[in-house]
Amino acid sequence: MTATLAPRVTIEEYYELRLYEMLPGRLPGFLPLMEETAIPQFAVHGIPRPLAIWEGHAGPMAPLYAYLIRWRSLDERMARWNAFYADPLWSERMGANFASGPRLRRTHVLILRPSHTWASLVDPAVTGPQSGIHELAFHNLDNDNPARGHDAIAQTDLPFLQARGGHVLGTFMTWYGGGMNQAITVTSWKDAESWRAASVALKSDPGITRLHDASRTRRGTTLVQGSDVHLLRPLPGWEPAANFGRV
Amino acid sequence: MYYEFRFYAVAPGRLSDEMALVRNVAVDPAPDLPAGEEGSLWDRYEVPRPVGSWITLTGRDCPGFLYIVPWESLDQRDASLPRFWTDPLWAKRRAELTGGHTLVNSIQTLIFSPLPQALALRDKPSPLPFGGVHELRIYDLLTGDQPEAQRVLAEVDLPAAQSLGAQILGFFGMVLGSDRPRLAALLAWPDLDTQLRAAEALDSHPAVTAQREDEYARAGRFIFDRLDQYLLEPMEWNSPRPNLGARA
Repeated sequence: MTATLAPRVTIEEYYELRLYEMLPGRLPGFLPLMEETAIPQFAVHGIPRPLAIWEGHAGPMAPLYAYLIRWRSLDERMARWNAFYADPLWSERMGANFASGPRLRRTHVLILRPSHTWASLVDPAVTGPQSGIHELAFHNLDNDNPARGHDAIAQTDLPFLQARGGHVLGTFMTWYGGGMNQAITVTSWKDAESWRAASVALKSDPGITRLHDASRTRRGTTLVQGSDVHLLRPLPGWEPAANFGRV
Repeated sequence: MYYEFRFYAVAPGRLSDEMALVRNVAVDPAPDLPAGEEGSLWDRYEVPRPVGSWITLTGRDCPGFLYIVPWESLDQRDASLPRFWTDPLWAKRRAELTGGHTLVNSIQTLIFSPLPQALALRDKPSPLPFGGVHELRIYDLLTGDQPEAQRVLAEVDLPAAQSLGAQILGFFGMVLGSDRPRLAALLAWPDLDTQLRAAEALDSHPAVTAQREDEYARAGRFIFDRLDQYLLEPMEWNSPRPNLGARA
């Protein structure tokens, strides 16, 4: 008699989200180091071009510099970043850029995987680079029911936001480095005011409240336990493709 | 003068319930009053009307609900607020709304004092409340740096924010709470777009940049460590007035 084994796992896609919590007043002088040295060096050492680069001045890590990179393998990811950091050009240019003082307070390097809900939220009608204002939100989930938490966000909140002009760039789950279990959503908006209006409406809409209430009263607790919300502006030339290019 | 910041991490999906509860209690007339009489349950226990009520747009632990209660005395506060918590009408109303489930995941109760430098940052008194989008900035600093940090915020960073369109609702030091020393500034912006553009411009404002360079040259570090920041939507039923209603 042979043991019944769990099925094989094949993971083909990772997203590296790098959040640089900058020291106040030290972000503007950091931008040339990234643009002129880091990103050209990414190409030299085989780090994929970031899917998006953002600046954030409204949220719990502000001022924030953030970017997103897609990988197929984490061993490859480790090898490429090691090569990048070992290049003396990087240390030299970084040393020069930091001569006037430190620039980053802390960095948060997170590995994400696509949420199972993403495919259902892809909007093929939206195409091209997405400028405007983006919201990056980390939703803490009930640890015993993370999949239901993802579903609640994807089936209740995000369609409400889509109907009010929000475009879902992507939905993710934390895999390494962040709080487990979190759902991460990135939405884009044509301007700040449409995001604000939709965001306030979502919190007070009676229909949405009824849906959340029904789930809560059935289970005795909420599926989502609170969210950290950041507002970001994509840097010119680094606006992400619609649906982060996933069509 | 003390400002009690009450910061609620509301259970997601329950913000309407929470706001209804607070509004009914603190602002609306008490339900057992004869017709024509005024006065909320809070008035009954001499709890002052909050100087503002907001929900969070960005920040940690959204959905968040913040309101700020002014007190002349903490003894007076402790003679009033705990009585209110045991008020039978309040307990009944709360039980009805919560349905035995969690309404609020956690509450922070923080006591801040207005700083003397706030006087120089004041706006013209006006009976009109502020709409728009408001911003709470909480600055972490090292113990010992507080006098200089107060000066820098009051003379450099906050005037720069004013030059970019902010009104300063208040400038405070944390008296009771975690991670002291902390300074807090409450800003009002005409709209979100102005805030976003200004916050970015503030980071490269010449006066601010020169101040940071000076700090580094003198001490080898910057005076502020972490900035915790919340964008706030003022509730139209209790929008704050200029200077949080403080008399000139």
